[in-house]
Amino acid sequence: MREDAIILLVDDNRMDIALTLDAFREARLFNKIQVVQSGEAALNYLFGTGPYSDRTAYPLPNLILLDLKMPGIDGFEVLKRIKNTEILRRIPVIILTSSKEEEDRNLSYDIGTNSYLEKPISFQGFIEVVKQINDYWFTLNIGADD
Amino acid sequence: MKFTARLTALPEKSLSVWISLTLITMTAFCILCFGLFWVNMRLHHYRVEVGYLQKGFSETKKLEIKNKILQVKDYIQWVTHNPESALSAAITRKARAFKAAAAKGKTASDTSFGFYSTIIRSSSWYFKIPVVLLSQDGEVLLEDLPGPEESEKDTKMRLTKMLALASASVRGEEGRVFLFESGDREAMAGLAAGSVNTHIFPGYKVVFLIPSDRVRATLQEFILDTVSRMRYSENEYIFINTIYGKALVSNGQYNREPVDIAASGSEDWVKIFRVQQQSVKYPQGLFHTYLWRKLSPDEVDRKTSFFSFLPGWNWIIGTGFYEDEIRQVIRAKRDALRNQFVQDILSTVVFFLVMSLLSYLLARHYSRRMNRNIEIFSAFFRRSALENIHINIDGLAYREFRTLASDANHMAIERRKAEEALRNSEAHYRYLFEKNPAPMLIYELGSLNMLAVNDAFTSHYGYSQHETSRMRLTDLYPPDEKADIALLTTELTGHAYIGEWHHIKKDGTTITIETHSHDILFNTRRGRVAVINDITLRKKTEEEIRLLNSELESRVRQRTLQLEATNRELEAYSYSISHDLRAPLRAILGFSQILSSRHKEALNEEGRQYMDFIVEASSRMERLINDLLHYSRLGRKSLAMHTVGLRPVLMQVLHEFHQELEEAGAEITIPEELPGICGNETLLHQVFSNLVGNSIKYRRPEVPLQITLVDQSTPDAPRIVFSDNGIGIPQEHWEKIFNVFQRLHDESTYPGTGIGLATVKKAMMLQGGSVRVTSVIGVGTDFHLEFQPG
Repeated sequence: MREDAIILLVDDNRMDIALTLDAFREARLFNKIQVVQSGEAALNYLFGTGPYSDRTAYPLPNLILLDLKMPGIDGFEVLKRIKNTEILRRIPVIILTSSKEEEDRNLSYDIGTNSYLEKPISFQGFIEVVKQINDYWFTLNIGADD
Repeated sequence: MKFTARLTALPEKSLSVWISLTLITMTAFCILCFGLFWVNMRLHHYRVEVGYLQKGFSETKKLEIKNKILQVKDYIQWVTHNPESALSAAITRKARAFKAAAAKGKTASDTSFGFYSTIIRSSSWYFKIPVVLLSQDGEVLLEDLPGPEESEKDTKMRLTKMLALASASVRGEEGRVFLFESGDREAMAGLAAGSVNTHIFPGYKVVFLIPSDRVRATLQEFILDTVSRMRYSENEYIFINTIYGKALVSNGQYNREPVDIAASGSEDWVKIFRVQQQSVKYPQGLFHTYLWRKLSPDEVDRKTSFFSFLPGWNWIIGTGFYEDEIRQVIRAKRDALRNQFVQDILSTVVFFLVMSLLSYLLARHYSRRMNRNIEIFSAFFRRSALENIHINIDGLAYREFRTLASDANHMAIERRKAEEALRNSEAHYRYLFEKNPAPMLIYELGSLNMLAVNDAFTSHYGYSQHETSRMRLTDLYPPDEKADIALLTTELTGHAYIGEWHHIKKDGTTITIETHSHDILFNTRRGRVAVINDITLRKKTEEEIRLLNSELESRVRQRTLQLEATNRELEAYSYSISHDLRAPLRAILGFSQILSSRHKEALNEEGRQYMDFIVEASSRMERLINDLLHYSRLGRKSLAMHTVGLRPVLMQVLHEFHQELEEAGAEITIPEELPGICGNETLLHQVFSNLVGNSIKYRRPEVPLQITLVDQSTPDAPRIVFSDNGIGIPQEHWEKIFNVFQRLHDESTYPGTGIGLATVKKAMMLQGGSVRVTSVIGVGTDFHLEFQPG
């Protein structure tokens, strides 16, 4: 487990954010989780613009959890920008969404997401998902060399 | 000739002329053949005859002369042995001469004995026959004793005998010669002859006597005289020579004084006589051919003669013929034949002419009779078209013409019937034309003049009959179609449909028409009859319908698009509802779970129970939303249809339900073979999942679950029945159970969302199949599934 790994959580739903964070806590994972609540904010964060120009306060994450359905710039757009930007391209992006639609899944993978997870309805499910994310991406997966 | 004149006058050789010609030709041919045959036969006959003459005539002639000589010899022999007739002839001759002499010198006053005696005495000497004059009583009145060398005594004795005989014979027939034996031994056989004649000197008997010494000489004289008269042509005569060289009969002359051949001075005669003398050695006679002078004309020719010796008289008797005679005969034959030829040819020609004339007359007669018949026929045929006539059969000659006439009459009757029928038919067609409800017109080909229109035309177009009669077909057409229709009419034949055109009525309105037309002979003018169909209204209606249809189509298309959009909207709506419902639900469930687990102690019993209710309700809502999402997602996916085996999919599903089925003690019956179908494996899986889940859920707890699959496929459609022994469905719900959220039982008895069977139905429909249910309460339910064939 990489305690120092930074996760960027992009979600417009506060409750989902709370549940996710809670699930991380419940799963005893104490990674630093940066939360942004819109696609625009996510891009600002990742490109270090606007309120997130301070890289020390807002360092580049090691993993991005990205919701698809967001007002304004949605998850697909964000994902597209990430994968089109050299410095961001190698950051693993996990789509975490309530949509199981084939279209959404296919589009996400086409753009370049690294994983696609459905938000579970139950809290217990959330915890499981978070655990699995951690286990896979920070334990099993050998990332690209920064 | 009249016939040839007629022949040339004919424009064409008629049958009668041919028959005449044939008849004449045949006749001429027959006659010519016959004539040729006849002439040929004649020629043949001539050739045979000439050949026969040339070869055989000589021999025949030889035989002829030989026979002649033999006959003469026989005659001489006969006369020699039967001298009566010869002597009688001699006496008769003498008596006749004596009588003539007596008559010459007699006068009325001289009927005295003296005169008679003078006559007798002179005659007796002259005729060298003793004559005795007797009275009627037989008294010898006068006797002549001519023999001066006779002795008195002999004469008396002879005379006495003679007289005795004569007296005896006075009573015999007048003039009959009688023979008697004379006493003279030296005389020939002692035979003498006498004859009594009473008519020479009336009142006296005159007896002529031939004394025995004179009998032979008399016979010889008689024979030679007779033979000398036997000549049958100028150059054919019988000659008699004595073997001592005296010619008794020569050149057909009796030599009273025999000619001495040796003294004649003719060497040829002497030479020939020597040959004649040879005949003494040949009892059969001798032929000899030599050159001899003819008597007439005076020329030398080859002569063939026959010589024969006559022993009693020591004569050589013969005759001959000249070869010139054969030539003459042949010449004569030829001439005769030539004459015959000419005659034959002449008669043939005459016969030919007569027969030709006859056959011409015959042919003319029959051809006239035939022509008369033919004229009757031709008059009949000329007039029968106009009048109701028939041929008088009795007026016709010959059976053939009568038969023909009866047939012609029959034909005329039949034709009149046919004409009647035609007239009726024409009236019928006229009626059809005039009263036809469709406008009709007849126009002439070429000029395109309107010949006739019917009532429907005038009423439809507004033109009167009189107006149309002055119109042309093109006048009906608008200016831009006139040229085309004029051109088209030149190409139409038989029945034709010429499509749509435009006509202008009298009032100026343009109508759309289509016409069917056909060739017609109208009052001897070639034209076409056209039936006009005014399709203006129809076209208008069609156009309206077409517009309506296209409008309708676009409306349907629009509506369909709208519906599709709505449908998509609805689906998206239901999807997003389901989707968006999940977020608050997740919050409710998540946080209520966190509360119930992490903050349980802070709640009292009631609070905990309510907390549990919230969790339970949220869970149920989650299932609902999941099922709804699932259901709505069915239609959104693109479906790949292919052949799928029913059995593998079913086995997979049963395997997935393995645990539940075991708990239910399920007994499952599936045929070994299930048909392959055309469908989508995922949808099929969904169908069977839901059905099996349904069976498990609605089983009767008191009995073990039974699931049975029966294959009821037809060749066109795979069909299976999925049966269970569950609680069953009341019939009034058989349709409803396939609706979304249709539940028959409360949640607590049979938990479920009510979407399962709706999903089954939708999945079946998406695969082109169908599902229906039959059920008996408390016994079980049958789901009938029908698929597209694989």
